[in-house]
Amino acid sequence: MLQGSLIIIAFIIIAALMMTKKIPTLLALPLMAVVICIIAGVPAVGVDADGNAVGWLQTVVEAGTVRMGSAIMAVIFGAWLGQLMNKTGVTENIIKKSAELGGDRPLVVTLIMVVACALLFTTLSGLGSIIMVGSIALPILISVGVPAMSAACIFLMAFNTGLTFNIANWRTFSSIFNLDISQIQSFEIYMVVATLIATLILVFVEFKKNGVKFAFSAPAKETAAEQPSKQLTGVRGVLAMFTPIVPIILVAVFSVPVCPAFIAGIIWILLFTGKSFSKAMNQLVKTCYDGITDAGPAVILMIGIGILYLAVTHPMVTEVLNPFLLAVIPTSRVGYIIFFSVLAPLALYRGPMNLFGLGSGIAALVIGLGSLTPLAVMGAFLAAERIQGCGDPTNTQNVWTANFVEVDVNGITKKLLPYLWAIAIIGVVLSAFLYF
Amino acid sequence: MRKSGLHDMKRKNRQLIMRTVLESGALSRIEIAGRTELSPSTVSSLVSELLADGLLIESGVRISTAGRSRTELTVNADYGYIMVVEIGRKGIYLTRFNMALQDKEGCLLSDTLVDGNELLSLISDGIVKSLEKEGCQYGVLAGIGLLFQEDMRASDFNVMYSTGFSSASISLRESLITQYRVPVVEEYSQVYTVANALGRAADEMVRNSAHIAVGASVVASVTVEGKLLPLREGFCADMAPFLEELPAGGERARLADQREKKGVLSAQTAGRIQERSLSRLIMMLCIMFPLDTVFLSGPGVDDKLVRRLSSQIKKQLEAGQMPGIRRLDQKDMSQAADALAERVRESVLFA
Repeated sequence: MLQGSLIIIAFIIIAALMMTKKIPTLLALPLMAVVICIIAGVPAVGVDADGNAVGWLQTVVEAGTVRMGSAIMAVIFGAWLGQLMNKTGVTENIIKKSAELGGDRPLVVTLIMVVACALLFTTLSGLGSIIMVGSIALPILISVGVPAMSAACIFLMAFNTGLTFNIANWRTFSSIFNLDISQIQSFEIYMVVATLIATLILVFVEFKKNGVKFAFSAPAKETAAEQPSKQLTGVRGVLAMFTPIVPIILVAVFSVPVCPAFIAGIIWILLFTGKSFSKAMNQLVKTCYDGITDAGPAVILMIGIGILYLAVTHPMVTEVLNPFLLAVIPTSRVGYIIFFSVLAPLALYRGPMNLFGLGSGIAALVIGLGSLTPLAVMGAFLAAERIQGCGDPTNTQNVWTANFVEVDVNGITKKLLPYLWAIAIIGVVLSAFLYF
Repeated sequence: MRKSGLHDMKRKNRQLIMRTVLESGALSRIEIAGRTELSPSTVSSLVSELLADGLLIESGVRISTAGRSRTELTVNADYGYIMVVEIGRKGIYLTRFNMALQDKEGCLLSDTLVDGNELLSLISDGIVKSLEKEGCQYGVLAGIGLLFQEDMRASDFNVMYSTGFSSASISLRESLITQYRVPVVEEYSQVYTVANALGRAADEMVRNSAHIAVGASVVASVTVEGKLLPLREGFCADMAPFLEELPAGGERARLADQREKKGVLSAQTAGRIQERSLSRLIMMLCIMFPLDTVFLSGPGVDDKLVRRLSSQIKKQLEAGQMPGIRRLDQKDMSQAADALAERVRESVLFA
């Protein structure tokens, strides 16, 4: 009982330190893992009667660094393909050609931009890609008359929609919940539909609010229809612009593993954008290095997640924590819906429902408890993840977007929270009926 | 789609007019129409737009010998300022240009190499000070150029973008675009130094050449048929792995330490490299590419070295393979900032 209380106190202290920006997340996760193991009495080094290692240095820290290995590789290959899309001009062409399709009709331009951005972020990741897309898409939205705050919110919601179908993320969730990627995919399909509908509602609500202004909005500036610096033309150009959907189709339809799907995307884009073999090879090498740099923060975070996961699933730790969790975790369907719907906003500010923070450890603990199926836990946390994806004012993408269009980052959260919370509640309800 | 076609045509015509005025200095509307082969009414309407946008100004009235007087148009020098930041191991310089690329003023931001975040803050402070001198604010900043010395990589200056909870590494260019929302152009000085040297040697039919820059590391670029070849790291390749002829063990460690402390190789060390390794490197490049000329630049590269290298290589290469070896002087290097400013101006005016 004392050990369990101490672990909860340590958890609260480290969470508080993290939320007050005293320690970064990438340090907080492994620190919490070590503290939990020490309090639970796990030896630093040791072997059991069968000669298996049981010490936290071996089973938690050492094994934890590679626990998310496959997810880390998926992130790296995804970032590599993302870099190729940015450097070959595919990203730029998709956005600018989409803007051209809309002409000077603000609503049509906005809707097409939502679809284009969502499509791009199924493959792209990292702040570099957000900047690449945002610095083109946001001025286009603003130039057709969308107010800066609305443009920022619409852009982030479109990003969040695409993120739902980001297969590198699927791989990460698959590792966290110990589930097959197809099980993640089956739930994310509902989430992508819910997020897309919420995004469209946001667009129509914003247009309704600003109707008069839009009617008298200035025609799109020349910069809005500016040609891409690297023009992709002809059949090869059109095929190159299909790059973002190549990995998704391979994974979702043909059940190809994530990394080979990204490799296929890489080959595809090189085939249809490469001017010569030597140039393509140079670009391949350069984008690989840049992709690894892009993926750096996610990789180090996943190492922390892996360590924390193994700490909370260590038999000596679960033995200590299970009585506490059994008292808190709901056992009825209604209880589940209320509990996770109310707590979903705790995904904000790196809170305990955030899968890219402490939430990964809590999810592992709840699964280990056995009172909820792993699928039900997955549904609850992925529903809450919708709020974190574009509502958290501590996300680099939120801060960058707010700075770029010169609006208050907390204003974005306020405007988006009703939509995001509604999506989360829908996700929890769906999960309750599908998996409970 | 028809609509976007018209937009395209209009944009191209605006660019054509801007380019013609840039190339010719000052022209009247009718002269622009004559040179661009656009109809006078099209020119008149687009010029009105460009005047309203502030990109062009009417510079004065020229009396015609017959008919109406004609008003000359020039690029509006006060449209905004272009800042070029030269990033090298010996220092970081900021040069401010107006849109006519005159009224140039420079200042030293740092005499040592700094990391990306510090560089971003130095550039921001430098821009504020430079604009304050002119009594201006951010609004008049039109574009930024980042000019990296040959042996540096843009990724060495990535900026950590942190919200306290999460962070990401982004390029200096992306940071500057985020902060100022103006075009930011990145370039390596190698591109301009070789172009400059080739421009001067054009009459001597230099089509294929290599440029070896000797600094803290040794970087090479190759130009074939007047165009820079893309290499492993952009247009430049680090040749250090091919130059490891330095003494082994403790001596190498001492030299590495010296390199670390001083930032550049000492003249003595550079001399050792130059004598043996450079001749080997030049021969290797000559075997790989059909080179007419090899340009050398950097501290310690003087005419004596060039002569010694020529005689060494001559002994080992067949007569048909022997390239001319020349030194690029500092004058070639200093023009790189001007050339980049011109490129930034184009990206601002032709947007």
